Amino acid sequence: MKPRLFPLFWVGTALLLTLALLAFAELSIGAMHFSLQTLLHAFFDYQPTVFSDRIIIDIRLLHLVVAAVVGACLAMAGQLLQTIIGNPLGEPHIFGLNAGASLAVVACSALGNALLLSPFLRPLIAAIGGGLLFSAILFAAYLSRQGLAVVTTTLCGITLSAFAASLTSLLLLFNEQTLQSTLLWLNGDIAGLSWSALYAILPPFLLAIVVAFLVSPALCVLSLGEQVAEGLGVSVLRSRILGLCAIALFCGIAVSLAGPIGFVGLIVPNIVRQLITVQPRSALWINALMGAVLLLAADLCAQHLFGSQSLATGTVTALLGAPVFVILAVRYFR
Amino acid sequence: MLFPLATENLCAGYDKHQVIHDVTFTIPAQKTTIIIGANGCGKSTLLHTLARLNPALSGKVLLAGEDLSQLKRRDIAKRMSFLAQSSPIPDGIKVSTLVSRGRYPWQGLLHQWSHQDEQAVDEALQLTGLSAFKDHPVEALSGGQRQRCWIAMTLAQQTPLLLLDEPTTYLDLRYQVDVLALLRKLTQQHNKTVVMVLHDLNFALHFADKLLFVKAGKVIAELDDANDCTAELIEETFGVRTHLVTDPRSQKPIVVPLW
Repeated sequence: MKPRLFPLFWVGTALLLTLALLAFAELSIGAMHFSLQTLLHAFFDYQPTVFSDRIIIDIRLLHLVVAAVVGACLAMAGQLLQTIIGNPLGEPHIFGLNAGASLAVVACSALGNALLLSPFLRPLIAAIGGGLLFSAILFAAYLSRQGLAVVTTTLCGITLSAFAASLTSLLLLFNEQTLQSTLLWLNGDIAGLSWSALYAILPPFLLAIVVAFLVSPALCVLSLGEQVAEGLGVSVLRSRILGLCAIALFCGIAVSLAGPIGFVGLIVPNIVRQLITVQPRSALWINALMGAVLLLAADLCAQHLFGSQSLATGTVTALLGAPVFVILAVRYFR
Repeated sequence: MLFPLATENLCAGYDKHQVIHDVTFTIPAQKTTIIIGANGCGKSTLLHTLARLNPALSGKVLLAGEDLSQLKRRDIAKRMSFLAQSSPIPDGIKVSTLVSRGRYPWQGLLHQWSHQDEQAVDEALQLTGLSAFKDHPVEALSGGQRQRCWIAMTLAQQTPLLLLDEPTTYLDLRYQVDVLALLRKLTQQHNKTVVMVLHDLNFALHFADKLLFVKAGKVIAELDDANDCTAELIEETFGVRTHLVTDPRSQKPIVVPLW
């Protein structure tokens, strides 16, 4: 209903400001440091021949936008996922979406079909892979006696994710060429990208946002049980399927851009739910902003915290997120 | 006369298993109608069919004269609310949030939370006496308060018609009386039409304006006055021999089993 601890407007403003600050840091800090003036020059008077302009626009801005999009996708996917399975521990990474998406992409790379490798298809292939594995996990958990209980779904998720990950490793083992091209990506890293890959995700990204926006109130009502939801006018099956599609698309986009990055989808929606808002649509865009902020921050840490030695972004989010998961799990099961 | 809810030769069931056989009755406006019957007689199925939680196999449910199967789910939800027997309570949800979910059918594609929604929720909280608890987590409430909370959610839906599936189950005596008194207040003072399934025969006889006796998927009796109830009817419905005494205060019958 009403915002909880913090009014929505100020949270949004604060997040936008933080995002702007982080964006500035991301653009200006690096092996070469750039002043605001140089940045403005690159933005408003871009010349491909000027070295600093190339670095700022073609490397750092690209990197920045990708990180923000991936963070937003993961957080929104996390929110939808947690509502759809009624489980605050729900997380795309744990529920197999990342593993399934990675497996699908690696399998397609191993097949070596040029069409399957095109950047325009990659997010969709990843989304289908993630969606399939996620559905398999839900189905496996559903077959158990407790149905979609928190413990069973989580365990099924972890088990089947591990299974998919080992299949991915097997594929890579037998296919050295694929290994070379995907190793960094598989650790969850947002380096080595192109603007064309970013444009490729634009249509599915917009589609997923529209679907998520339309379906999130219905999913929220569905967490009160199917009968209550139907009584409130929700079409149960349609809402679930649409929700699954949005989750799969978000994760597919995130994975195809940056590889499997964990825990953003866990931390952010929980913070939003506990501290800011439980209204599904407001939560959606707050999640998007906060996800972008978190991933940008993690990315900055990954690049600069250890001097010249840069880490994969996924490593940093896992470092941050694993303790949060443990805390949430302990609180939940106490 | 147009009834808020009625059935015409209704047959219903789950999958291909027919449970309700050729049932025709009407629900009077602004009254409490109580459906009673033995376990497994189909009374819950009947209620679910009235709420279109499962479809009619043949025949019709008429919502204010309109065929229910022709209406959109969301439009039905603006005119009729349904309270399930038991529902999961999401982790950490606050009373006001749960009640606000009742506004779902009124929120369009782009429409966000409005002043009108806020007002409907406040009213529902007030009617159910939960205003003081609105920021409490639902899990922290007692059983009776939780049930009030769910009722408040259906009230926030602002429908003239309320369908409730055994709203007093799992509650102790005090909260059973509490919930039924609340529902009676809704019909008498707030123009609501209430239809519910109830297990307790004596409560049903006391609170109902109309009684539907269900046996093996058929309505075997429709009573407009509890005093028309006979021991024979109860024996036919439940297979238990009883005798009826009259409550000296309310002049309503009380059923006592012949032990």
